[in-house]
Amino acid sequence: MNKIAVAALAMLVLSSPSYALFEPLFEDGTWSAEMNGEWRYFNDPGEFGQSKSAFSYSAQAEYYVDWNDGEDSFTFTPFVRLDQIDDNRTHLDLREAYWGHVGENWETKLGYTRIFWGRTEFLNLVDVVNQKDFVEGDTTEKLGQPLFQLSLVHDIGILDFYVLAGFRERTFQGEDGRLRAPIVIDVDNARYDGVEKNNLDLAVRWSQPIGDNLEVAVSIFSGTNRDPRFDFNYDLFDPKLIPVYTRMDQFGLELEYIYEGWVVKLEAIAVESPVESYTAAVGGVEYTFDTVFDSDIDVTLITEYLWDERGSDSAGFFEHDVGIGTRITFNDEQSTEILIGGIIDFDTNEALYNIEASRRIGDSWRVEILAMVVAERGEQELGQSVLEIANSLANSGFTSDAISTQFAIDLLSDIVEEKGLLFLFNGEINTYGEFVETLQQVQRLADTDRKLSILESDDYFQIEVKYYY
Amino acid sequence: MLKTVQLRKIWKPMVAVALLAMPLIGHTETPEEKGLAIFEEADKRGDGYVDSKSGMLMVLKDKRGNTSKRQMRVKGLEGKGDDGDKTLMIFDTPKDQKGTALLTFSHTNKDDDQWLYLPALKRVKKIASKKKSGPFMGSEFSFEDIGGSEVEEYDYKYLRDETIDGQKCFVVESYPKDKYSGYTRVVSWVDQEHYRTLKAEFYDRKKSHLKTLVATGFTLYNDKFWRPDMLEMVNLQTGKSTVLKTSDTVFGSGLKSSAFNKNALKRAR
Repeated sequence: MNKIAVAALAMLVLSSPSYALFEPLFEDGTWSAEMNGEWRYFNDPGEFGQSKSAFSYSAQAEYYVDWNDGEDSFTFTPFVRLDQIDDNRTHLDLREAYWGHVGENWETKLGYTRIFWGRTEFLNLVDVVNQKDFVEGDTTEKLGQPLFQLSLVHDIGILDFYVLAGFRERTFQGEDGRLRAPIVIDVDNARYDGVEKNNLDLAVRWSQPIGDNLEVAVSIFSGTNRDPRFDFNYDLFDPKLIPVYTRMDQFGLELEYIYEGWVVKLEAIAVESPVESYTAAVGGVEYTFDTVFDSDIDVTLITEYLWDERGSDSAGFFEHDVGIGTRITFNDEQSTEILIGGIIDFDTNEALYNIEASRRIGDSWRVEILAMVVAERGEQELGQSVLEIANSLANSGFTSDAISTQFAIDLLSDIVEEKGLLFLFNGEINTYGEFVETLQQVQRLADTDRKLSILESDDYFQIEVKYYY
Repeated sequence: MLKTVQLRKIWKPMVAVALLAMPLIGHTETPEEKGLAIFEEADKRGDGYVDSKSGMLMVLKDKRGNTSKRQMRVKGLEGKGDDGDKTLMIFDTPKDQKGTALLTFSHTNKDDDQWLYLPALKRVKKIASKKKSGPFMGSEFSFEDIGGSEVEEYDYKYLRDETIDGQKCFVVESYPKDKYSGYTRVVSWVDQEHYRTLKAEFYDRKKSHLKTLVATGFTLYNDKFWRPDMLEMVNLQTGKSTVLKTSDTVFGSGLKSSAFNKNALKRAR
């Protein structure tokens, strides 16, 4: 996370001249906190020798204070995770640290915060204000984004303007972490292509109910693409993927239509960037059967289609997939919930299923159990020539640097055709194995039809115990 | 009936002015007309509260006597013109639900709008109106009991006069017009002096007696509005019950309409 910004903020707030100014921040504030112990158990050891089980601990505190009759407020929400096996997953973040001010028909926020845009359940394409905190495992977790927000509330809708300062790079699992890509992502050496690292990004969103049943939102984002592309470092002995951030302009549309037990949802985006322009959408329906069998239980069935115009060139995992899910809400004293879901790609038969259940215990505890199963994962067909591998890698959505790609093709071709493979291996037989392995991983990355194979995604089971203070 | 059960109505109760009430009821008045007139009068006596806020403690009790608690705060804003009343409910406990907030816009001529804010996801979700018969926070109160209703949403029938706890009451039956209501009828005991609902019995879709509500500890606020300090809803079919205690009620504290929109829902504390 941005440690300097936190330190600067802390110093600013705590320095004595400014103490008077910030005095309201320390009076009558309230603290709350959430602590979370997590244990994951994988069915198999990691492909790269990672541990089968791992403990992890996270804590998030929140300090809130308001003054001027609630017109001004300050919220401070630090987050920390400690992970037994993954150094990258051990991290700090400032989820929120902002000053909010509320006027009659407007409000502002200044500082770190998290914003949600979107309607659908399986994937929120439009939701691009915050960077994802990918190591958390839950794709809805986000890093705090420093921003200024002005929100105008009017009869014709809520209009939000955002100035986003200080881009946050995505977090990725480290070498010893589970659920990582076959080639480690080099988070320390991210590159920026055609965009400044600290570019000021802009966004605006209008949202409004239309009639009784329809809710609409339209958004425009212009700035650094939160989804990086990846460049291969072409070092077969220390292979790494380098995240490359580019700029993009995105137009987003959200629709939600509620009629009796039905909800129809759509999110669509059109993206323009120096490297590509495309559209993508997620849409579907859900239906709720409430008080089934005369109990208090509600059962919601959800189905959504996930589509990306780029097809297999898209960097995401879902380009023509069907999501199916059931949410069972018990409406009991312990707020018990069960969620069963699957995402299936009918072209490749890739399928990912998960089941989640949670229940409160006493007043302050909650237990959550999750199991994830990769029922079908694209298998690699080996036996292509190195040239073919290099070519398919160059043509995949996973490389962004045309020059080094060409260089790699030439290099790999040279290796094969002229000098022979052993040229690079200093006569050590074990490194030959490593070389072949790397080639296979390169090939795996290059075969973008089989997206799930990119993530080392073994079946696992996770139990979380949360304590709320 | 429901009306008083409904939290919004708890804020919008009955004027103390002890009119000689319902003698207006002429000889030709049918039981249906009389029932309607009673609820119209009750509604009228709740008019003019402008806004209100209060704290609430909900105690859920299962049939073995185990209890669990939920604390929340409620803010209400009286509707003006075509706008119905607006209610914002904020949860403080259970702690894993802290910051969850429910915003309700009630309407006289159509289904109410309800939005739920989930703080962990920073997400606002609209609640389908069909969901109204479902339980609210695992309690014996349903969304429909909590969300509020208008006089026009029911048909009425006056049954008889009856005295409970020494107070003379009208006993009126009402029938929800909404097909998604969890009730086929509700029998209410409305006291003849102040038009407060002291008791109500709820009959489910199978027409059997489902729940009984008793309101006690009425306090007069601003010399005008009666509010019960305690509501107890007992489910006769499951043996479970929920007690709702109200505290720190204040009327006319100058709440602004800006505290009742979707932005306010997200920042509700």
